[in-house]
Amino acid sequence: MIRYVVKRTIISVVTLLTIIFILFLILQFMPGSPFNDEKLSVEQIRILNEKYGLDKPVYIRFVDYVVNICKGDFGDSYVIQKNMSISQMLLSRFPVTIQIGLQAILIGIFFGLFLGILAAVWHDTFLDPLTSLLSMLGASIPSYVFGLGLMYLFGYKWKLFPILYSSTEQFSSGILPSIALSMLPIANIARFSRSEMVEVLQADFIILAQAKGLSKHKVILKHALRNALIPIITIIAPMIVGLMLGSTVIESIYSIPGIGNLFVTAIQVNDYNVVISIAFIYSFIYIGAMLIVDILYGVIDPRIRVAGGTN
Amino acid sequence: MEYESSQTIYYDFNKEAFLIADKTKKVRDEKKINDTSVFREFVSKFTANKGALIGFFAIILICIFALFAPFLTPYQYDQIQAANQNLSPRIPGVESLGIFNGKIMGISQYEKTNLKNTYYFFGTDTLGRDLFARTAMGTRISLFVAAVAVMIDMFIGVTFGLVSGFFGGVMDLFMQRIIEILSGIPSIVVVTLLMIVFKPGLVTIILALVFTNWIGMSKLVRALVLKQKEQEYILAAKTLGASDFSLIFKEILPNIFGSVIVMTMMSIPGAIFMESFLSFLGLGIPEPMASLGTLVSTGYKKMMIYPYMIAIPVTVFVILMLSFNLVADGLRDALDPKMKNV
Amino acid sequence: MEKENTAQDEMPLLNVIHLKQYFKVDKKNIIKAVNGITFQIKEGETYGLVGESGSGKTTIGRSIIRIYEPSDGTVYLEGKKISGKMDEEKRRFISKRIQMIFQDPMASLNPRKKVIDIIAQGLDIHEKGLSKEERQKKVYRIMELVGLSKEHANRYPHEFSGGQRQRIGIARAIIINPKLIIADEAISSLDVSIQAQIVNLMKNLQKELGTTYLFIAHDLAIVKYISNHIGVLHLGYLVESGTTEEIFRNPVHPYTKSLLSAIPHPNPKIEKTRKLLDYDFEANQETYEKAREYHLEGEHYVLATEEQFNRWSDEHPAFIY
Repeated sequence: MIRYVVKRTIISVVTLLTIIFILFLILQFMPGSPFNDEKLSVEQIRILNEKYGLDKPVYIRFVDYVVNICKGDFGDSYVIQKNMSISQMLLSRFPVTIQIGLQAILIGIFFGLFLGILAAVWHDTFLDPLTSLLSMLGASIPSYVFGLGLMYLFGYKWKLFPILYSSTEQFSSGILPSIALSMLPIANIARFSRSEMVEVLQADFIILAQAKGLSKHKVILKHALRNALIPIITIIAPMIVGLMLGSTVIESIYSIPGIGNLFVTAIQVNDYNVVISIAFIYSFIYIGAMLIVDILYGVIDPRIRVAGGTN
Repeated sequence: MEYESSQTIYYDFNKEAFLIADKTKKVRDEKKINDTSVFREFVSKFTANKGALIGFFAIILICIFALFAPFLTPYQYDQIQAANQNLSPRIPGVESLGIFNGKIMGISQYEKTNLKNTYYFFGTDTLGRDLFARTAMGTRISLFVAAVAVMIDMFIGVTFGLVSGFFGGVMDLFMQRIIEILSGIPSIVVVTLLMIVFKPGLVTIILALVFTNWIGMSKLVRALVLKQKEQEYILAAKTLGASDFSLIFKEILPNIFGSVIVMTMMSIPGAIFMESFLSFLGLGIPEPMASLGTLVSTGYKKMMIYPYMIAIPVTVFVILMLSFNLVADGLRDALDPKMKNV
Repeated sequence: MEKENTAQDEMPLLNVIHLKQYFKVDKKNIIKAVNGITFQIKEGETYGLVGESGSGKTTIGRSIIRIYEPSDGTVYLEGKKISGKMDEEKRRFISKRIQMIFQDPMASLNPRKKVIDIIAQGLDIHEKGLSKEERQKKVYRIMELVGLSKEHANRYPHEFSGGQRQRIGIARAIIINPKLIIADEAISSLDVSIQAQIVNLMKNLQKELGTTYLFIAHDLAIVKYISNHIGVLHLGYLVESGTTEEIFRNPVHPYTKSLLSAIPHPNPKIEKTRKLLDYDFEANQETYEKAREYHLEGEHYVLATEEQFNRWSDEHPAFIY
């Protein structure tokens, strides 16, 4: 087991370093050095280069770069807010994104599981095909459509919620975006938990539990649910990617001052430092999530725990 | 221990009860079991799935729309007529039913600007361009981009998976390590990196789509190849002396092709999705070309006032996605229900 | 007396000497599937290799045809060494002369290929210059030979019954006229009545084409019917071998005896008094490692330790030379 964890961690770190390397390379080749639009003399440019360490050979700059990232220093933004430390920008925007994201996940898990279990338990009624259709719709309609639709209906027409996000009404203005973002997770979790539950409910040990005389509800909640939930770990990583993608768009629509919004703006105005930094953050989150999922798998799947690794 | 019996036992039986067998007749096994080919079975399973059928026909309809719609209007998709901007949809004949009558909040836009006899089926956008033609063009481009990306995916993924799975050994290990590292990069990062390094355009988008999908395809192909490799008919072909090349392409490939097609189909919605995302963020198809995503992104700016500008492309988009998802699910169920958990 | 491995009156078609096949499962465990097997097959004859599952009989077949790489030992075909380092020439030599019929008639046929293409695969590899008509003619001829009709040529394997599929497998094997065919449990998965048909087909083919068979099976009754020689395998060792007549008339090794005792007899009177002999290898703490080959008579050999041999000779004094 330990060997397995170590192996997975090493691979994660290597992947992350490879990504940093690629990001770094891209940064080098991007036009737009910080000093291009200033009218500077050659001498002044040389001094500035020295100050920012831009005259050192490439591999030293790379090592510096990595070290800086580990210290949390991502350099400065050159376009969006000149000479503002990127890490400061990121820190101020993180909480909002995390808030919306977490709310979306919670809504997604709650309603997704609810629908999925409903469909599974009553899968010989109309509820099953209905939930299938709903989850297919949820997967076919992009989150920005949901975002716009919700904004139009609940914000504009029926005036139930604020249209745009505002930091003064954090909770109420965060509801619509969270719901919009949660649509895809709901659809996926519902579909997944339904098929798992259906399989588990037909398993022999469930019939045994019922034969023992347990009430149907107890059977469902205690035994079936626990077994059906475990494979959900498999979809966590793809779901995180979906959330990242969705958040960029949802934040743009609702004017939420989060990381996703910053990312989109940075791309549009070619502030490469910011783009690269956020790309790194996203990669870090994704790889970290996958590592956690792998470790969880190791804990749950006894084959890995005992034998010390899969084939 | 004795085997042969030393006694001969005689039995009496009625001679008429038996007929001497005709040795000249060859004893044949039972006749063929069934007559249907694999393909016909597959088609019948697919057509039994109503959702898949609906999706299939919807796709055909949309393709027809995308191909022929531009011929139904006199306007070009990029024809700017500033005077005719922001007109809502108006379809002759249907307008007497009270919908698609060119009215917004009760006021007919066409009457205001003295255009009593012009019809824009889907209305116009802020630059006066005909949205009917633009939607058709947008659908065409979305479909084209998705199809091309997915085809390239198939080729790269299949080749990678075939080589990795069939030859195994060190090559497989090495290739798998590469795949592991590459799949650790979230697609959003890959796509944005491509976007900022290269100019946004048709080719860049196709590249971005290819990059995000081929890994999944190669993993699937490799798993399928590994499974087929152990089958006895491969062993039989090997003992006959078949070359590796013929083993891969004549023996294994025909047996995994169906699953490959299904996986390809299933990645089309994802490609269309991704393209529309990029377009929505302004990184997609450049003007004056349009894709469904760009139409939505421009339409959203005026969403509150002119909802039709966004409603129409969104509807087409959702129908397209839904249809492809239904068809892909139907294909998968008809071909191999065991793939449900992929 | 030790068995002699040198040439006999005529060179045997297949000569297997001290064949060993070990499989490494992981760092600590090695499975010794085949432990030093020696036997020969003369051209035109059938050698029946019998044993239960795990005895190594399938492994022997696959090692000979180089699906597995032999861990030790030598194999000669027509006097030429076919074990050892593999190259393209050797591969062609082997695949032209040795073919295999597999146990599972469904799995051994490519479900996506037409019957005509399955059967013609050997031609496509070894006789490349054939025109379409010539190829078709050859396939039809072979199909008739194995009892299939031409109309079946354009169909797919799943449309046939198990017996018919096995005929297809046989057709595929014989179309390039190999000298030796290894039938690896070729009839074990068929209905008993079909088994008889297929075995008869194989016998007839042998008469017509002069093919040599290595017939691997676990059913001694069928093996008796088709084989000239029999080798009895247990746990990777050849515990007894000889002509069919010798083995059935005077089985010496207790394992052989227990196998024979399990064959039902068609005569109900004898069948009623048949007793099943038990051979408990582990209980008796037998070991084959210390045993060696003893020559009994003619071509009859048995694997025994000195102590065992003396014990058995005391029970059957006729065998001592």
